[in-house]
Amino acid sequence: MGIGYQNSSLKEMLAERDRLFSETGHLWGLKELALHQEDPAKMMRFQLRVLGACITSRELAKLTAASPIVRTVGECIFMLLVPEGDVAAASFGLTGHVGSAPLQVKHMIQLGYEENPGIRPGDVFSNNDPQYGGPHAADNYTYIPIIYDGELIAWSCAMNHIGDVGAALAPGSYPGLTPTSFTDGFLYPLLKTGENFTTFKWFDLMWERRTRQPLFNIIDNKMRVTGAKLLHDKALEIVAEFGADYFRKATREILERERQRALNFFKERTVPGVYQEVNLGYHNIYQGRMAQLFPQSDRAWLVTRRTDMEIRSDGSVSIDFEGSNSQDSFGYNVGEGALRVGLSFWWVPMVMYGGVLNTAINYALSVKAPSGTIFNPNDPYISVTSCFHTITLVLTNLTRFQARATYSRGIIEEALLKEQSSALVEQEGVFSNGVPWGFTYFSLAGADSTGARPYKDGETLCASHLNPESDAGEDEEFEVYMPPFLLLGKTFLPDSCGYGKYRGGVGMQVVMLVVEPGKMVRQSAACGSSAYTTQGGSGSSGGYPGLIGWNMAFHDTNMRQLIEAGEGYPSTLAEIQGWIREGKLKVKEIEIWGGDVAPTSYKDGDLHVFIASSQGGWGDPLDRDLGLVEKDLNEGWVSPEANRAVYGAVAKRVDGRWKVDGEATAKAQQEMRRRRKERATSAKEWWAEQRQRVMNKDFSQPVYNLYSDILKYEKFCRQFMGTWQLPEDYAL
Amino acid sequence: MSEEVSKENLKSLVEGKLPWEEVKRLLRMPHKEETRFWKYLEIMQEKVPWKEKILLPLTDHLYIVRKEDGARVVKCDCGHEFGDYRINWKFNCDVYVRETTEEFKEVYTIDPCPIDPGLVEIREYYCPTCSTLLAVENVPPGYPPLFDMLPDLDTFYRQWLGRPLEDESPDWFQDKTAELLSKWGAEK
Repeated sequence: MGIGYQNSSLKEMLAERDRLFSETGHLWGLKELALHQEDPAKMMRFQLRVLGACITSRELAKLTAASPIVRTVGECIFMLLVPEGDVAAASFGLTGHVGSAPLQVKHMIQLGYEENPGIRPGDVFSNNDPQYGGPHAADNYTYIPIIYDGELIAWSCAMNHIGDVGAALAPGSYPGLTPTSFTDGFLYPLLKTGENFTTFKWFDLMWERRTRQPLFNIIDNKMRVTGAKLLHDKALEIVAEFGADYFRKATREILERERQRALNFFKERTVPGVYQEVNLGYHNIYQGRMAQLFPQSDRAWLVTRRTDMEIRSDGSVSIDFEGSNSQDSFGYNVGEGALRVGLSFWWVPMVMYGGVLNTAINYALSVKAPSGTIFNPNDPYISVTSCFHTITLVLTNLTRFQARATYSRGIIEEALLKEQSSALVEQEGVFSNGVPWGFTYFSLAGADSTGARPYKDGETLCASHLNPESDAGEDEEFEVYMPPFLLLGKTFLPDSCGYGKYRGGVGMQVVMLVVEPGKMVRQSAACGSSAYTTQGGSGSSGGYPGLIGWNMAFHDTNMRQLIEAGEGYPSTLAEIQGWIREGKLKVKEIEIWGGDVAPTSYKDGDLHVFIASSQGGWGDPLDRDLGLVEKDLNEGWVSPEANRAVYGAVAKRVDGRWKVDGEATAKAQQEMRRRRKERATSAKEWWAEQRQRVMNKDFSQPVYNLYSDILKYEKFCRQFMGTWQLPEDYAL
Repeated sequence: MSEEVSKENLKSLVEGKLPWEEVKRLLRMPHKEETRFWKYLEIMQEKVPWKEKILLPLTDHLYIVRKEDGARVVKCDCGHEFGDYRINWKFNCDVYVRETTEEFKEVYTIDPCPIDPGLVEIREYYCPTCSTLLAVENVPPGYPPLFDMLPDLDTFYRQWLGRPLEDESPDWFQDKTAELLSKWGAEK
């Protein structure tokens, strides 16, 4: 006798859901949405009640957290799932994480948890293991079964991102160096971690012993249990009000209705067909650091995220990652949980916005990637810690594809280029009194700019697709938890955008000064983007990509002495560079990273500059309205030099304001067009030259390594060989 | 609040002149009106100096049009034709590739320029007639040019718009780029 509907087992319910969908094309065979039709007002009231339950649980649970990652910036989400695992409603917050919750419930069901360890009222289950649907160690999920009259009628789920995972080689929640899952930190697979809504003591001890930030992590766990219990209770109140039968049917109807909404979205706003996108990252922080212990990881990787989309006649979308790299001994692999979360980062704000947040789109969105590749690893012990480097950068491909499709359809208001820079800064140290500490600085994660649209420039540092920080509004509290790192400045960075007829939003710069670091302090950064390759923030329709993120460290400086002498301090990269040029600021060593920052030690007086979030442009820069050029000059977004170089804009100051000289600019642009003609060759000539280069295998080592990997995959190999008309025996 | 966008407002949006408040109203529309595509085609058709019927706008300057002889080709608003839309139009452009730091710095003036020339090149695809920049690719050297979009026009017009094209054929939804490249290869 099972705990599901009418004594069926959860395994039987899962199989029945899949059978009915396969046979009818509708979730649970719901060809008619009877409750919607019979009493739409009641249905709306029900829907708002479950949504309100999720939101209220989150807002209350946040108050019980200690970590500012939850309490201040709200990196958490609360979800109501049907027994089979589909999310029927969810709160605000870390919304993308609806994606992986269904997988974790599916694993519990398929592993036979109904029999062993059993699923009873008050039980608490927890997971952060990618092998069982979690994205990576930082993302922790807590499940409480909602049992009414002996029937498991739903699940409540709480999830949050913690501040340190106890990884071996690098600190924080997103440790950059993880050659294997055995260096990923504290991973636990689908455990029963409590009974009677109370966490077992041993789970607290695990956090105590296995992570650098035990107090925050223990209290974060209590916060999740608290919120999941609140949602559990509120769900039972709703069952009492509407009846169990209505609850069961209504949650299913919401999902079927939303599945249909997803299909209709694409049919109403896009054009069927096939679309190709790729972006390119370069990961080099393992190189030179792994030789002795993990020799297979002592290298750099050029990684392509190839993404081919097809919008089919019924409105469903298929995403094919073939042509992307193979899995490897690094943390950039993407398990099934992270893959689904990553796709949610796209579809939550770009497709399924409005209404109740749920996972119905999973039935309108198919994904494929060859086994053993970065998007479908088949090694259970492979590291996926930096999975979001890989999957969030697919966002640039997905928004570009959607922008093309909506532009062609005439729904151009919805065409928006967007990349997620999502830079997280990981820190650890030992204070002078010997007390160790660890932390993740989230300031860069939530303040993304937006890319250009076909009708306007991108906005600056306004919103994030992934993270709720921009909802929270401020993150100054973070400074309290990273005492050796003093923020000297945080502002936008002129000229960092991708140019175009409409430019992308410019990026952000954060300047930190290291002050009294104690016995030791280290910092690394997981940037998720790579300015080495202009990856991320790509443009469209002739617009250029933005330079999304990079980092600079200035070691052994006289900064502390300058401050003590009353000289003030620089608060931007340009000011630091100016002070160095003037000879005022002395610096012994400058390090530049075009992407991730390797774990780096700092001394008192060192400076670090983070740059993130610039976005791509739309359209030919020479089509830009000169009024916008003038506006950029007067508001300081783009310098006179860049405006001259990219737009040909000739400008001068008149009464303290920049004025563009239309005639001189037209002449300059004419010259730029002439230069374009002079420098370009016909595609046929270019093709012949490129073909010869490919024939000669005239590539840098990283590019050579890339092709020797991805040419293993038949579809990309066919395109590569066909494009360059290579002989059959061509190989790298 | 009307759930329609007028042709006048849509034209303003295309031209980048629609006030942001009005754009937000469009963004908030729960459903887009069925007539939108036809209004859009009219606006685009009135914008171009030539008469061929536009079947689908592709980018700011490129359109798939139907020629008098029935061919469906990609055409620039300056009048330049790129040939059959089933062949990636980038292979009929002029191409310029930025591959050195100096060349990157012409577009990325910020100091320091963090782009690594050994890893990526920036390809610029121009219209051979008007030299408009039509597409930018940032890819490793040797990467096949991406076929940004091959629309399934027959399905679109018949099933989604309810106005079938008169010359439907399964052959219209085929990538023919390989045929061009085979021809170029045979000339080597």
